[in-house]
Amino acid sequence: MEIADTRSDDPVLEVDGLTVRLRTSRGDVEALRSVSLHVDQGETVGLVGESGCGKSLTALSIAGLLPPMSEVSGEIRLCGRNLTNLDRRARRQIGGREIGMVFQDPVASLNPVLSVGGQLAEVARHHLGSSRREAKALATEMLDKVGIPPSRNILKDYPHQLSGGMGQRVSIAAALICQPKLLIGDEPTTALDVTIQAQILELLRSAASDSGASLLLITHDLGVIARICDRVVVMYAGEIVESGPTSKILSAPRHPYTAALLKSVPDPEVETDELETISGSVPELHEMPEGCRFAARCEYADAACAVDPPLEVISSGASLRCWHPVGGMNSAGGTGGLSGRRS
Amino acid sequence: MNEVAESLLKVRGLTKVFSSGLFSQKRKVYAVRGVDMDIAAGATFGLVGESGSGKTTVGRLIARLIDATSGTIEFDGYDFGAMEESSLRLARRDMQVIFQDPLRSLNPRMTVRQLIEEPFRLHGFENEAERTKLVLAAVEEVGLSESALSRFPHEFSGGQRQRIAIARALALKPKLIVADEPTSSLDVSVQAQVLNLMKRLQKQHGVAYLFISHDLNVVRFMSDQIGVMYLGELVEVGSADAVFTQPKHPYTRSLLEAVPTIHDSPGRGELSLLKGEPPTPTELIQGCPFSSRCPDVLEVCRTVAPPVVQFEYQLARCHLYGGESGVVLETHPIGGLDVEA
Repeated sequence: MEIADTRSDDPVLEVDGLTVRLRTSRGDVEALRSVSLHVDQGETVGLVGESGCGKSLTALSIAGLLPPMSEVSGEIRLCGRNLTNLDRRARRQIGGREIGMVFQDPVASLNPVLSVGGQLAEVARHHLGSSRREAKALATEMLDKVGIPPSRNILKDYPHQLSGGMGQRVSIAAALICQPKLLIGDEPTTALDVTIQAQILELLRSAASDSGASLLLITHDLGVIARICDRVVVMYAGEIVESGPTSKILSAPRHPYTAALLKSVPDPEVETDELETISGSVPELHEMPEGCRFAARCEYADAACAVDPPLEVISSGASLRCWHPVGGMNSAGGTGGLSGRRS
Repeated sequence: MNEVAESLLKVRGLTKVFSSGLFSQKRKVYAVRGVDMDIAAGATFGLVGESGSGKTTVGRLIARLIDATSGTIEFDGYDFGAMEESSLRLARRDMQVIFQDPLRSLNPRMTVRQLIEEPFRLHGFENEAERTKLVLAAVEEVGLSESALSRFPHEFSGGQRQRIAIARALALKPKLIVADEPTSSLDVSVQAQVLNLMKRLQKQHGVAYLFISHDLNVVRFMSDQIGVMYLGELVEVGSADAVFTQPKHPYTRSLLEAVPTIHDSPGRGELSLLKGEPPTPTELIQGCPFSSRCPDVLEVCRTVAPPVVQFEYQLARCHLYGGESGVVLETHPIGGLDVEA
């Protein structure tokens, strides 16, 4: 609204070389390494990976919600403005106003001692400086927008009285009340039943596009990605391994990890008696291997993988971190032979 | 569906009513209502439904972890549902349970060796050398190494813990394992390993599974027969293929359409949104329990309980087929629901 030094053609979000080190009881660990991604105006981008891959930490970094002990390098730009060099206060002001956040568990993320109306009004009064009356009117209006008509009369209800789906609608209303540029959903439908999940996914998509916000959706569920994301970014062990248009990544993944992950999901359209699995397990943060972090579990790995592969742009809007990509005719890996083995 | 005679498990009219609250606030919750189910030896029956549908309660009732309000459970030819505690203990050798969260279901103060040895000890394997041999074989079978034996559950990852739970459940070579959301807290790549393991062990030992899950794709992969629950009732039962490819009940259809798969594309979601949320099961519902959300609802659905309609490969409890494409079996099997007790 009042960001003077932005141009409309800047991406809404640019993350550039984000590295996060956390202090733990087992020493410092590099939880995110050189994460770079962007979300364009009006775009819905999915960030997918298994537990511990760093997808939620990426979201928290963007929202400025990292624990104080963490050491951050790299840049996070919102509409062209660098957020990483702002002080904590300014950061929170921008974070709260221009980035909306929806978490997995609404009961845990909403304030338990504030009613739904109080919850929403607080946001409006704090960030928009609304009067009591304006705030209440705005709260009612926002609830209506997320599919809770005034007739439901939930302004006086407390978070624990709401069902999971209703709680998530309230969270979305709270996140959108300041008309943020960016809406981040961190596993927003993971705790919901499938029919409710379908409603909330659709609401996230339509509410974001109606209010002109871009959407960054963090999830472990590749089906959710397929359903609402234009583009997808795949993370493994604190790094981005692959990104590109959703349909392309899901139908013809290039990174062996993405390919293996897709095949381990039970697929109703594939008749099989055995799912493909990924051998071994994700390396622990404090014992990350040199070179490619997936190499130890990768069926294509060879000596080349001892050297860290860079994240390279392979076509417009798609990038890949691998020496031996899967399935392409024009293999980017120079050694040939191994690539394209999997049809 | 004419293999009833050779069913390993035969459940009829299974009903559970919980009472909650105190004094004047006292309410009844109709968690499970009139569930009929047959599981053949060595087969997998998948039970799907959303939270509050009663699927977990059905599993707990069948394993006799809680007692039914009414209905019968016949297991391996015995009247399992009516057994006294003393004989139940022996019969349980043939029916084991796996839960979603092994960290909570495995005793945290016991080592893996003690955990897996316990069922053998309880069921009279006196010889220690023999027990050790059996424990080793069990651990190996689920893909854990011998070095795991002296460690405690918390030292393992989620997938490995579930392997321990499976080893323990399989120790006595049961005929049926009730598995309640066994892979729901696992990452997909680990889930794939555990599902493969369960399938392999089924082939080797001929164990049957009652596989309870909210994840339809997982249930499809695992099951021969599938039952779909809504608000305490089984609304559709049949072969996994039929239920998935030609669902008859509108709820099954909505459920299948709501499940996101990797073949979806953006925007597909809005086509088939099921409105609203399930009502709470605190009152006996007039008519069809799904009528408040059903996209195909008829006038009759709101007042008259739907009949069970038989199709070639499945049964569905729905008014839509009133005698046309199927054969109406019964007007309402839970009609005079006797649950006031």
